[in-house]
Amino acid sequence: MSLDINEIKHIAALSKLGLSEKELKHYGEQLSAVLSYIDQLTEVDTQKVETSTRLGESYNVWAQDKPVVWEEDGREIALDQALGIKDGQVKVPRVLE
Amino acid sequence: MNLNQLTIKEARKMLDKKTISAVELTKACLVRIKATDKKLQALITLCEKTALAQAKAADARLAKGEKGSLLGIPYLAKDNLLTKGIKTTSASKMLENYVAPYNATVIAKLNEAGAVLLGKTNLDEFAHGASTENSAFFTTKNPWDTTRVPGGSSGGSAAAVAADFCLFALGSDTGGSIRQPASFCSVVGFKPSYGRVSRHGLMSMTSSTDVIGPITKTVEDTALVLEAIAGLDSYDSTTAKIKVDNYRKNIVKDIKGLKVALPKECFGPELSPEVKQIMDQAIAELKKLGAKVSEISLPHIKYGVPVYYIVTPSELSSNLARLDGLRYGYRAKTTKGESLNDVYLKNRGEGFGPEAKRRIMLGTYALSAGYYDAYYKKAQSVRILISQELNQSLEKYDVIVTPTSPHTAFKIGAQKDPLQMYLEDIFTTTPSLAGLPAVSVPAGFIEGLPIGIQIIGAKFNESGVLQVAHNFETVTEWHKAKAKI
Repeated sequence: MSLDINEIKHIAALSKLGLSEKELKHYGEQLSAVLSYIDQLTEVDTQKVETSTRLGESYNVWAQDKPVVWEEDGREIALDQALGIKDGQVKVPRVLE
Repeated sequence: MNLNQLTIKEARKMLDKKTISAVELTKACLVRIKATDKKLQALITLCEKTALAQAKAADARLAKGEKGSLLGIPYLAKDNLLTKGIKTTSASKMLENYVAPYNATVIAKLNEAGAVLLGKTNLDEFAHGASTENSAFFTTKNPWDTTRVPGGSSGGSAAAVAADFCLFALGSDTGGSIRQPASFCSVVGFKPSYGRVSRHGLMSMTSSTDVIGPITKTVEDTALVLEAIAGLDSYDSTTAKIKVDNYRKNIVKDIKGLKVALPKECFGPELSPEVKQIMDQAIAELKKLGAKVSEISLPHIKYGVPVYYIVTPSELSSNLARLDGLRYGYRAKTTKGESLNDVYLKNRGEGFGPEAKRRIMLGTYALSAGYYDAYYKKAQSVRILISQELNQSLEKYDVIVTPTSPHTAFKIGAQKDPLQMYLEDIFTTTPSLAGLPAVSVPAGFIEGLPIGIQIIGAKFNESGVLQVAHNFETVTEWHKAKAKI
């Protein structure tokens, strides 16, 4: 599997990664090589595999929808991580067009 | 012998007899770290003040006559585990200044047990890698040869235990990230069954295979740490309701008549004669201990790496979508008039390192319209075949034994091709995909560089895996050798 430059641009856009032309070319080549290696999976017969097979044992683990009060210092640390705070609210860049 | 060189078991005796204090033990570790970490670069953050405060608190508890297997024992944690009030970076520029607002369940459990957190260890960014070279900050060096990698992604934790910076460390393992560095550094690295240990507070990579586990100096110490961190957690609905065994009690049982399987696919011509010889020696020891060794065939095991490199990127591309630099994390310089999309592209394009970008793109591609069936669904189908094959074998045999890694630690900078790096996981991905417990134990040296064997057991048979590992360790001396650093 080889990805052309338009495909890699499309993947980068879907991934929300801003990449330079040089990076696009570089990652395009590397990802093509990885995908070619992964293509060996086509030789495995998976027709009979029940894809609804569950790998884990848990099934629908329910919990009460009750809020848990955070410790005050934890709440403060969480807010300290915000890149901007105004009037006790997290402030983000203006992004609406 | 310096106190930092002790095993947990040895330190426990001395702490309980009051021949040493937790503060003395912690200070010995801090002295060692400060003297040696310039060479190794195993730590991202050192928590000297809080460590000494925790050690004092542990001494107070000991003075009151309290008992506890980890009370006063100093440890290090991989920097993708959330530690309240302490920087938790995942070795990424994206979270370079991020301070965790709460503790991961494992950290909370260790706090309660009275263990002393010395600091946070280096890893490949977001645990993507097998060498720590993908850390956004620096590459950790292997204590056995500082021109070589310690393995990864838990390379900082493995190097730190090998260099006696601490008595044990925590790592995380998604496809080999505890076992492979343990093999490269000559320490014990254990990946529990998926769901055995809570993932709450572990930065998610591949949510369907991520597990937290101990890296220790002996198998017995692993059993001890596992008992403390395992169990059901209401914050992680994938944790198992199955009872946590008394692992220490089980490991001392002999292995006479135990059935050991060797998959011939892991002993092919690609294994170097030196590694083959190490494996032959190890298998001879297991036979001497009374184990019944048989060769088996696992025809789908060779698809482990290609399956893993679809499943993992798919899950992590979704998990890392939360990091956009809007509310917290890395934010690029914005100029007026930029759209929301422009802001995302810049923050993520500048904040993530090359391997994270490759994996995000690979996963996004595998999940995108038109390719989902060909890649993601196909990989999940082959994953089911791999799991069934392993599970069926483990109904007939007690454990499966393979090399942990195909070779010893490689030179820093030697693996430039991402695909070559992915093949590092060749023996470790399949137990991860099936959620099985697996351990790497020191099994010898090739030209002065350590290598381990991997022991895999049926799901939730941690006891069986550690029992074989402990028996092997008691008749070998490899784990006693110390790196000269």
